[in-house]
Amino acid sequence: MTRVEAIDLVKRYGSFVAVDRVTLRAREGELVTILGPSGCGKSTTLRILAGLIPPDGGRIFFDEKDVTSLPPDKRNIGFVFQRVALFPHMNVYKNVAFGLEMRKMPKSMIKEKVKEALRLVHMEGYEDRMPSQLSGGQAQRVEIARVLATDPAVLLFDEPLSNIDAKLKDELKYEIRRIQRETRKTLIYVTHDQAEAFAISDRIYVMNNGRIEQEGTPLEIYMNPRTPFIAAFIGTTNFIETSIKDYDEKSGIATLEAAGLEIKVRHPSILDKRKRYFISIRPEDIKVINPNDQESYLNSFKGTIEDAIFIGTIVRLNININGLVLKVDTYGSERFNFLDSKGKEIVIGFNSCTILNM
Amino acid sequence: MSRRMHERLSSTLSYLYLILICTAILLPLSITLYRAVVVTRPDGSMTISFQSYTMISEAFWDKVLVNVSISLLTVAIDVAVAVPAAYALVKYEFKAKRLLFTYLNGVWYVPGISYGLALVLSYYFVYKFLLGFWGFVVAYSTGFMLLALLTAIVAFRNLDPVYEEAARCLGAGRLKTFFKVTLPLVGPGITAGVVLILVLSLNEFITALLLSGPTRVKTAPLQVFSDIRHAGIQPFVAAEATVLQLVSLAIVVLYLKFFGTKYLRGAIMI
Repeated sequence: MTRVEAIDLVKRYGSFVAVDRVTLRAREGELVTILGPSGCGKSTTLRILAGLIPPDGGRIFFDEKDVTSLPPDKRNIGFVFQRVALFPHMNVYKNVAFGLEMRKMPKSMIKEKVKEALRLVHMEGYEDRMPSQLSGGQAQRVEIARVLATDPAVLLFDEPLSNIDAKLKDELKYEIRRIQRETRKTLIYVTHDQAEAFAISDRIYVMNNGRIEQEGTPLEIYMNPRTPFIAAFIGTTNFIETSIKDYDEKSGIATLEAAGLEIKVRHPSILDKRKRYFISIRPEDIKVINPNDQESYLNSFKGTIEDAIFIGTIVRLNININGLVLKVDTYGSERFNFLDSKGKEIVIGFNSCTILNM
Repeated sequence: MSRRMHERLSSTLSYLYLILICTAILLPLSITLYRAVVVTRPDGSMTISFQSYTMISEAFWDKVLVNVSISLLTVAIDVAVAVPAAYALVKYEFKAKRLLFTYLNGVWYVPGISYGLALVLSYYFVYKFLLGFWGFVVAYSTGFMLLALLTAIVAFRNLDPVYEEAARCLGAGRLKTFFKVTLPLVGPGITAGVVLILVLSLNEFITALLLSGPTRVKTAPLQVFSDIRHAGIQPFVAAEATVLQLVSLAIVVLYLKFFGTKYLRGAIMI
């Protein structure tokens, strides 16, 4: 198991700064994800870690060893690419054996290691197949076996599931997690898919415009997004621009105002009354409630259903409250009651929301 | 017009087009063979005889051997020089890269006669030591270098860099990545250039004609031309021409059998 530490990484392309003083750490045996939208610099960061791109600044350490200027073949890494990178002129066995041959291992040991790696990804029996005879999912499994066979110090995965259909993607992401747990390798995983990141990561770095915006466990990032960008990028949310009306130090409850509504938020510290704040309310945190239960909620409002959208396990309602439209998610068999409820008046309630600096 | 009739008409036209192309290519070759093997008897009747092949002089066979040797050496030199050069041109950035590509493409459009004349002027009047057999080899190698270079450049440009990156991440150094991954994957592209150089150098006429004066070496196509001039289009001259066709075909078929098909399957060349 190896610890990875990247400090103040910088990569510029002319005047464009693709990676801007990125610092990240992955502990031994940890699965760390760099999550961000397309073009945010996450793949560039990973390629710098692999040695495929030289950084313009910063240092990279694998344990105590400074690997910043080492070429990829001297870093002992396993890199899985976004596009399938199996050598098309070699069969599955030769592909998996490639890295072992480069390490000049004896043939009998290579045979054993290839077998073991293919077993780990459930691809035994495919040794003689050419990459063109494999499906997308099978090819990606072989690619993972190829990097695992070499027993790398660090695994680097660059959106390995982005070209795979939804069902298989769902299956493979748990496979990756299982393999990482079994092998106890340090894995740095890059994706733009927050569901994928949340499902497999120990910790997540959220990247935007070449910078790390927040670092934390999936739960921390979801529950306490630090910036409006993260709140919007992670899941679906209701963003409301508000001003501070009052702060009750005794109860620690701030009263904010938006579209003529007073919204109460629990907040541990005094807020600056001269500033304006965003609040983020997750659609799943808002409930359609019985008008008699309003007392149980910190916030409750009457509104009209503008629209009800069926999204499989969820029916998402757009509720108009004094001109402010909030997204509200309904679940279970109750959700079907809202499908033909356009124009109906209901009461909604919620307790939790997050205040974000503008 | 019904859809079925439309399909039938387009299918017939496609076949006619193919037949026309095949006829245009095969007819002259067939006529040469006809001239070589069909003999008219004194009574006016015709018969097939391969006697014309026995009349081919030993000098011609020597020249075929010279030709084949020149072509094989040309291919070897061109591949050895052009492949690394093309790799470097594609992979590494330098200031005048665009200008160089424009120049290389521009050279391609220089007429053969102009190029041949330039070679004669260079090798005979400037570098007088490059005469004889090796003069031909150097002339052909430089003449066809561009073909090898451009086909290799296209092959390297079309290669997805992800394979080389994967090889590097799996522990292969630059050289091993080049020989184990890059070269086998660009094989089909390089093969295309090799086949073209083989065929064109075996049958090169204009440059050979201009070089034969100062170098005093004659290639097989020049021998055929010389025989036409002195003896006319006799059956043995036609026989020589068919021999050249067969040698060309045999070399290309052998090359593709031993290297080309392997390449196309993606096996390792060197």
